Amino acid sequence: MLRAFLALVKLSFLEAVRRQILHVMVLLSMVVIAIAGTVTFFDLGVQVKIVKDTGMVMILLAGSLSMVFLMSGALFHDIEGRLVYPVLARPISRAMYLLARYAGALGAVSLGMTLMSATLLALLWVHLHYVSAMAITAIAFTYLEVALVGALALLLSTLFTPAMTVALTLFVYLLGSLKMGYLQHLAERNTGLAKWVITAVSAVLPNMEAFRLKDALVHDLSVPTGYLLLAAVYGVAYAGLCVLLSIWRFHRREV
Amino acid sequence: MVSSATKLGHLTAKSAVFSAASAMPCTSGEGQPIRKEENLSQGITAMQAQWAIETRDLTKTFILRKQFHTAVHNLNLTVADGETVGFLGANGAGKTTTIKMLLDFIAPTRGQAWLYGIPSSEPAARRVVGYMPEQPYFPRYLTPGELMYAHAALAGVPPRETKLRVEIALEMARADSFAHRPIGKLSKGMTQRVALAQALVGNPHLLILDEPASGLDPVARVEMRSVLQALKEQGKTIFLSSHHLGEVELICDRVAIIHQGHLLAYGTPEELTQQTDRFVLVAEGAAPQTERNLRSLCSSLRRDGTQLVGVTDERGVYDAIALLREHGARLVSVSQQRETLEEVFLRIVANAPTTQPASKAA
Ligand SMILES: Nc1ncnc2c1ncn2[C@@H]1O[C@H](COP(=O)(O)OP(=O)(O)OP(=O)(O)O)[C@@H](O)[C@H]1O
Ligand SMILES: [Mg+2]
Repeated sequence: MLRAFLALVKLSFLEAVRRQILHVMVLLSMVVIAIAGTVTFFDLGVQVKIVKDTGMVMILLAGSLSMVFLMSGALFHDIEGRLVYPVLARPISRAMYLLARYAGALGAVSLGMTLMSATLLALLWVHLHYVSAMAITAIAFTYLEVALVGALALLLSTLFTPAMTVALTLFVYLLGSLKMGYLQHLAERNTGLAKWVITAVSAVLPNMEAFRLKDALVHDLSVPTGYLLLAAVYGVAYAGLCVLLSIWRFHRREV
Repeated sequence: MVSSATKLGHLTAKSAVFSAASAMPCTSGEGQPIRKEENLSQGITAMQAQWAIETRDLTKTFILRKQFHTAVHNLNLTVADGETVGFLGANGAGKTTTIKMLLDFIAPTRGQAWLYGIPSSEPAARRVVGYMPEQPYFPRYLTPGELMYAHAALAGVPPRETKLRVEIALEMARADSFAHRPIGKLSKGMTQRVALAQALVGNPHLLILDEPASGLDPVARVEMRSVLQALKEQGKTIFLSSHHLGEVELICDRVAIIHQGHLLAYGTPEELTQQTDRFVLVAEGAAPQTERNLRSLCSSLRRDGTQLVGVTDERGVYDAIALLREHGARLVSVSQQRETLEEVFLRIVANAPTTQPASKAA
């Protein structure tokens, strides 16, 4: 059972690591991070802030975009390309297939993110001669955010075509990023049904801001452990729910 | 046996192979209906486990552009363990749709299917299955070898047996010579062999093959047949769809004919084929004059070494025998020809009631 799952994850991983989009994203980000870290600024403090800021943004951007593109076409590509048949004819459940598809792609993107993170951490080490726990934590939460976006793309891909899935995922992702500052403000300002709808929408949308520890990292602020724990549980639960819903959608899908 | 029969002409050769096939131990032929009745009286569970494949009222209705289209109608089919069954039908007859329901790629609209007694909707039903899709596709960047390892793991082959299983499967399917080339760089026929190897890697009890020989050249077709023959001799249950009737005829114990989603006939080739009023007559030592006279009595006459092989009707046989005796030529054999499966297929399909046009969806 586990062996079958791992074999499927490996197939999905191998497919994903070969994708050009991942190569381009990772390479571009590494170049940008490297430039931010090597161009000399007048002040070390500013330089470190810029490296942290650029690095975190690049890891998140490249990770999320590759994950969205990989996940949104995965099922479609497998079904339209008739690649699912030999696999689904095996004694495995659809749930296992879907989970493995997700895990393999996430693994490939994580590998790319690890390369970018290593670049960032190496540059920080060059400048500061130490790497803070906060840097590691902030990067870890970026992985979580990318996992969540991937799960969202997976869910939407069970409902829509790849292009539509990319568009919708990015849409929800951006709305989810606005949420804290904007939607709650809107909800406060409205009453009745409008307030109710806005509250419901903001509850359903993923709160992406919750995982963004970049500012804390840049400004060397500390974040309470309780908050980190809560954010981690929220991210895992949200992603888990998306995957569960995708499994439910895919369970009786005709292929 | 086959080679001597070949001398009697192509058609009789096939019927000779039929009888050879139906004499095989794994054939259930006439025994089956009785077994089925026994099972029915014993209750459903015993009956289900009896069959490698069983479908009951299996039906699939697609909705296309607001029209109902029933691709498979109330299919009741049983395949015994160890049997080789050919699933014959024209393009669009519903073969692939049936197979997709057996493997739970699509859900039946009505009815149910079991593989070795396990409902097809459960993944466990596919534990003993090796499947070869029609027009197989695999990840292009993998090599057949890598693919085999992945599928061995998916099929639950124990790790220490994997290497051996992979080698055996690649060799049986004759895919070992290109096992290290990316699948994307293989020809269609090579990919087909990879698909067969993939189906075999788990050492499955039950092979479900959707047009295994499509896209193969004549040599590869014969090779595929001999692989299937070998698998059959190992006692595997084989369910193969095809519209290449010659192939099916040569290796199948039973043949199911499906037409527009309806099962029209199911039986051994012997049960399905009828005697024709054609006779094949073989003679030796005929002088040129005798040959000329014989030609006027036969619908076809050809020379095969020293022998003459003629095809004629019942009346012609008596005249020809008299002629041969009169001219001192030797009569080697006379045999009545059976229909070929192709003729059976065409006859059955031609007599089938035409189905109603698709009805409007609500
Ligand atoms: N997903 C689908 N949606 C709608 N109709 C379908 C679908 N799949 C198959 N059909 C229809 O069902 C019928 C049977 O198709 P099926 O693929 O089972 O035929 P087949 O016997 O395998 O034919 P072939 O020998 O050409 O492979 C056809 O009329 C086909 O158009
Ligand atoms: Mg077909």
